[in-house]
Amino acid sequence: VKRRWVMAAMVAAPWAVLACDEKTPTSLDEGRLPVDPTTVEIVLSWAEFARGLEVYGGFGSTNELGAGVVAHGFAGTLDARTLVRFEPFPLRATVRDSLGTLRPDSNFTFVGGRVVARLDTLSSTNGDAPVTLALDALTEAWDVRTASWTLAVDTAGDTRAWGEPGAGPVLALGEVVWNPTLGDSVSFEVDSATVALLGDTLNDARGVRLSLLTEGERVDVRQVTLRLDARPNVHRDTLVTLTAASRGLTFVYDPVPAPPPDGIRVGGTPAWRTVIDLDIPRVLNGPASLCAQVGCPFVLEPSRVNHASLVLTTSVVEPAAFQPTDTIRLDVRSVLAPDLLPKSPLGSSFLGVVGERVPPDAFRDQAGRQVSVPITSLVRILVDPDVEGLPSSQVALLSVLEPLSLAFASFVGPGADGAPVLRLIVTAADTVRLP
Amino acid sequence: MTRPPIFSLPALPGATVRRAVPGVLACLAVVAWSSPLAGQSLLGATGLGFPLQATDARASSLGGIGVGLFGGHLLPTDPAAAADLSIPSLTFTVQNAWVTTEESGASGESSGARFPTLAASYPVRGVGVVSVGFGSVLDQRWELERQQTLVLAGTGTEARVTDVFESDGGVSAIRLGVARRVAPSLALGVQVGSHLGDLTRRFTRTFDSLEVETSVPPYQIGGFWRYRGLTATVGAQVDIGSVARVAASYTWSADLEAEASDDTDAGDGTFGMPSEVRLGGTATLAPRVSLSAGLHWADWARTRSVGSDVVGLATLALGGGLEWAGASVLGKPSALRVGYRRAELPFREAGGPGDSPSENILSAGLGMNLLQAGAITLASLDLALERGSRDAGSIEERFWRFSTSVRISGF
Repeated sequence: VKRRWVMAAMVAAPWAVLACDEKTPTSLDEGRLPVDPTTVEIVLSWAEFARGLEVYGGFGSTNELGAGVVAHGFAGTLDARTLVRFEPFPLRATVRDSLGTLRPDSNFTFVGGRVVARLDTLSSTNGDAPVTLALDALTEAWDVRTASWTLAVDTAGDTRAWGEPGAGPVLALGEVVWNPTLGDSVSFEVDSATVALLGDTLNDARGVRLSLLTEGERVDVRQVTLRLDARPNVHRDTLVTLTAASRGLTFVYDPVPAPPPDGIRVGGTPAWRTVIDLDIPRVLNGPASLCAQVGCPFVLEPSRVNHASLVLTTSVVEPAAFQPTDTIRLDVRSVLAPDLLPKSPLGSSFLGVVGERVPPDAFRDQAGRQVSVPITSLVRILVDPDVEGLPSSQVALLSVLEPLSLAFASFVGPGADGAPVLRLIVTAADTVRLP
Repeated sequence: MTRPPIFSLPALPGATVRRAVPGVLACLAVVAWSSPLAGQSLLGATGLGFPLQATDARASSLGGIGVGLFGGHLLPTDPAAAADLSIPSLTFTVQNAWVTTEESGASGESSGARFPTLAASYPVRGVGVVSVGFGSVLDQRWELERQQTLVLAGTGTEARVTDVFESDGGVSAIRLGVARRVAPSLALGVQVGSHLGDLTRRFTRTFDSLEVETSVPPYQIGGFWRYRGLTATVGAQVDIGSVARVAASYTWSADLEAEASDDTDAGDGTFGMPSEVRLGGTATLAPRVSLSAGLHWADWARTRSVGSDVVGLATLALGGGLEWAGASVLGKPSALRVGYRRAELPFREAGGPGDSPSENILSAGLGMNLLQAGAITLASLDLALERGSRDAGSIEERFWRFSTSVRISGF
């Protein structure tokens, strides 16, 4: 029996092993290629591929950024202040009593505390130079979602201005010098009366305002918390520290940049979007280089479009206070319902979650840099006559996240040197036929 | 010759059946594990493809003509040869090839496996031996690759691209046949069937994303076609006493229709398929020693619609071999074989040398009866090893080819 199994293995082994080695005969003789493909790069001017451009602002609000900004005459223009409202104070804590036993306690006496602000050492403009910050208590009712430089509340049917522009008037709580070389946080001591004021949940004015007193700088605020010193009832000889995080954090700034008279703007807080109406021809009769290579008229079939990208030229951001200090991440999405603009829903991203990254220098001293935004899949759809229910021919240029930062990106618009162009890489080849 | 009457299957003791189990399992495993077919020659890039011989390992080791051999067997090339299969039989062949190609000074290697034949027969009282078989006809698997730097017209951007053209497919034939011994020394056979198969031809240009400063998806165009077309073969076999056999077969084929898929830009196609004549015979030279020889003529000149730079030719193949059936391997009655084949190949580049493309093959083989019940072979194994060369103008090939055939009967 053993010998029969050996013979069976002899039968199977050659096929099972040798059949694994598969290499298709490959020719290197170009003469056998049955097609003669030609690849051409075409650059269409703005007038050849687009109908119009609109810039819209106001997407999102400053409190959605999740961080604050303080500035004082930054770049000669920008003033900004951060407003914070804290969570209701903790009601319970576990405390070690006089006998050393851990016990829950809900009967505290708050005797003071500290407002601690954590600052961004990289994106702030002061570098290693010390700056002075001030903390004040707000005295007027305000809304964290709609507060602006001039308005404390701006909701439907309820518009209330600040008594003083810039979230005033206020009750001064203290000043602190922040030296970035010593740490990334500053702390303002507050007494028990201020703690009681900040913990009064029935008071719509409760909250603090963080300001920068040093002229010409901008400091980014990452987090503000209130650290509370409390004397527990179960052990009156000791103090415990409790934390109230910020319930709402926003910032107000002045001036609000005006819409650009021309050009393309993307990003900022609230965010700007630029909508471009594409009008891509299905048949090309030029340029001459295209006609010389593949003949004209050239039908722009989807399968022939290898690559399509919108090429933008960066410009210096004005006002200078809004120039990016960090990488800008561009996104492109289809406008799904142009009739509803600027509130039209947008399609999925053509660039993915990372977006097209543009360094901040491109909007300052290195302005004029070209940025290529790929829209190949959209162009393939737009030139396909067989696709029913075409998506809109309008695309929105926007920031990957809205809002992403106070700064925004700016690009040269139509009619100027560096106007947007559409770059196409197309390949034409004979039909693949039977041998 | 001993010809057991139809349905006189000897009783098989349980032990015999159990002994056959390993072999059956091995064969099933082979079918399950074998990888997809791959091309056997770069000559498939010329004309309609590379013609494949639907023969088994025994025929391959005896010159590859596949007609007029002693014994009963299932071969598309010899429909009358099934007349002596008095019990149900199943046979299949696996063929591996390793090819070295010289083309315009460049050298390349390829390898692959295929199934040249797969057939089953069943004796039907009053009719004869009915068979159904599947055999290879044309191989169209090959590819071309080139790399180049393009200067894109319009902007002058330089882009490194890789172009790949792939041809993947081929033509096979499925045949239903009947063979019957009409006289003690005369057997006739007929097979009717259809060509089938498909072909995918695809060109892909891949861009080096770094050089065009962005990610560019590959450009691809191509087409897909399905083949169909009738084919029929008739054959006759005459035994001269018990010392010799001669046989002949004639194959007629209707035009091969290639139907393009809906999303293929190119249209349908029609190709003339050749008429084929095979003549062969075997003679006993001494006890257990026999000599086989034959010829195969195919009129590929009538194949139309091939590219204008390719011409079809009428081809002639000659082959023969010597078999000694007195050997014993692992205690099993076995046969040793040697053979030679010279064949013209059907497609030539119009501008190429005047000589017809041709191939020469030296072969050796081993046949073993694995399981015998009386005079009937219930399981057999045939192996063939071939060393050959092909010369077709700008292409020269050297190859090794190994064929394995298994026949199981009485299941």
